[in-house]
Amino acid sequence: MRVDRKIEFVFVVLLYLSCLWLWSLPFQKNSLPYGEVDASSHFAVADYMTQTDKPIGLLPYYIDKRYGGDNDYKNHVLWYHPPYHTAFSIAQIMGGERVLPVFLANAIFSSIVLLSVYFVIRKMFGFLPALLSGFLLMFSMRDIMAYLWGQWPERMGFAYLPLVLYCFYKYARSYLDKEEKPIYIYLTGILLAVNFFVHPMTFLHTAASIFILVILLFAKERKLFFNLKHVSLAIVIFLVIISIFPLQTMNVVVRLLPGGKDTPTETNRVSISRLFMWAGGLSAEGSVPDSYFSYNQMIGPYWTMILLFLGVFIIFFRRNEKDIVLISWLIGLYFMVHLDVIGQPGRVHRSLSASAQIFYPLIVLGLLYLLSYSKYLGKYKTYLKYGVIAIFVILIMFSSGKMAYSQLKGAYGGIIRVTPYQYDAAEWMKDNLPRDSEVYQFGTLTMAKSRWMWMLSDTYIIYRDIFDERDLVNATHILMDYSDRAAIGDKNTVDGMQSWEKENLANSTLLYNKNNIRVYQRG
Amino acid sequence: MVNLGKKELGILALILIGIFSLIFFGFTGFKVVIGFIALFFLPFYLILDNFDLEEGEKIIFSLFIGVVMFPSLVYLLGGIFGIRISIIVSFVVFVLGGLMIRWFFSRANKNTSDDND
Repeated sequence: MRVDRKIEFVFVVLLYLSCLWLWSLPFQKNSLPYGEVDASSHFAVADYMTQTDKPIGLLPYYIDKRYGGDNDYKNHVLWYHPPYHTAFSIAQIMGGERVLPVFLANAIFSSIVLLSVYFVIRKMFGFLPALLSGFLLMFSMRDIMAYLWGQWPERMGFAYLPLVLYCFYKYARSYLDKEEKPIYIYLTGILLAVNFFVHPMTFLHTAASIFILVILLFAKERKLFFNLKHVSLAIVIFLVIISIFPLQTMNVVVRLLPGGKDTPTETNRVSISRLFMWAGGLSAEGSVPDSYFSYNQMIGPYWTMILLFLGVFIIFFRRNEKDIVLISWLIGLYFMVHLDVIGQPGRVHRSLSASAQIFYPLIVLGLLYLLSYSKYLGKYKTYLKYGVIAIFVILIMFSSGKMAYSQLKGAYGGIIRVTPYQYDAAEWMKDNLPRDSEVYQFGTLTMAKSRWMWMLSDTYIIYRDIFDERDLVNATHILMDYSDRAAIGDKNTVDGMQSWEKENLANSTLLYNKNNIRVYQRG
Repeated sequence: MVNLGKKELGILALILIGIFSLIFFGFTGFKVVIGFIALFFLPFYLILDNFDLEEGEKIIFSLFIGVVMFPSLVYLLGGIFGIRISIIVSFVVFVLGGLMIRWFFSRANKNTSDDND
């Protein structure tokens, strides 16, 4: 299908803006913060830099209390490379606000994978496969759920994988055509480094896929397809870039070395039968709901599986160079999703969140392959082809599209999100409590909300599901948050809190008392 | 149909994006989005425009490289100038970098054509 380049450009802009509109539904009408505990940590790092107008070196007290040990190379410093969070800080400065700019920036960064997948599929397979792949990605529950929960840098990190494969393929192709274009291998080095900065796990995905691509290209061409000088320079570029943040780069290295947190161990190995499953047998340790492992709920209706298998079959059967790029991508993903077989500890299930980005192009290729038989229908072929595509689009909109819209529109509604009262209390605490305070919090509905209040107030907050007197030892302040419990009519908890407050805080100083939220300084 | 050049198309896209941001995210969102395009995209497009790449490649790679490399320099310079001033300094550095590369390549091309004469 030929489309004028300029019209295509407008199409792409509109497609992406549609995606951004959809993914920004959670904060279009309510710009208060939401997300699980990871989300608040990303916010906090950026917010601290904006407030102090300084890059984070040593972690401030309230962030260090939770994340001080997360950099295995050097404790008490950033555990992520700085650029991602600095970009959030830049957004806050440009926007002039604390919360909306971060969530808008996050929506852009998380959905940008649509552009990278569109671009690569467009270059490899044409406009229609790219458009349909981008369309499907808009509704990818795999990506949307991780985006809503707060696995933010990871979302953006996966967007680099197809671009790196593309650049490497373009370089190899140019070498084999005897019209070497080293710019592509240099771009490969730069994009790999940038990928590494955004999220190291996604870098490993990319590295795995590139490794497979090298092997498959060599098996196909049976000759060298690169100039050692150019590749060496690309490697040097990569190493130079990743060395500009040595503390965070070494954190990754240390974790991957023998004995590190992310090295495979004998005790973590699972049965070899896992190799014959995709998501089956994966353990998430309760960190994600069961639906996370469901094809139907995360990728699309079960009938799309037929197209997916067909797409996989086609690329393995054809095995032309462009297919090999997709094969590398798929095998790389398979490898990462099955690291538990070699004893990779925990969180292998997170690699599943990269599956939609390759599955959707394969589904589209499967569909278009089937439609290629319409050529036998003579003059009706065009009607049939575009008619079936229209039906496909409508079916997807009413299944995946409806699910995505409903999930995003209703995300963290009501008191599941930080409320205006809680936000005001957090702001008061930020402006009035000493930075090294320790606040014990009662009553807030969820740990995630408590964590948000912690990061919004720049104050360490202790929150427990079950009260333990020992946690009060170092507490300098008590936060009695009745607002959530009152809102849901939880009289038992409210009565218990009031009784405790009367008995234990009679001699404490009430500093803040608004909207059913009280802050006491312990006497 | 109006014949749109590269520049006109870019402006059209910017207008579409600007209006979209204003409607759904207010003036705050508008500032963030336009700011991102100006800071994360434009300087790197200026740099990559000097190389033998297709237009789509320049756009995509500028975006994906700029969104990380620009904040990287802001972070590094932030210790000296503060984050806010570093944003301006980083923008100037990358734009100058793009212009210098353009000047360098134009001189190299000029020398090559002088040698051929």
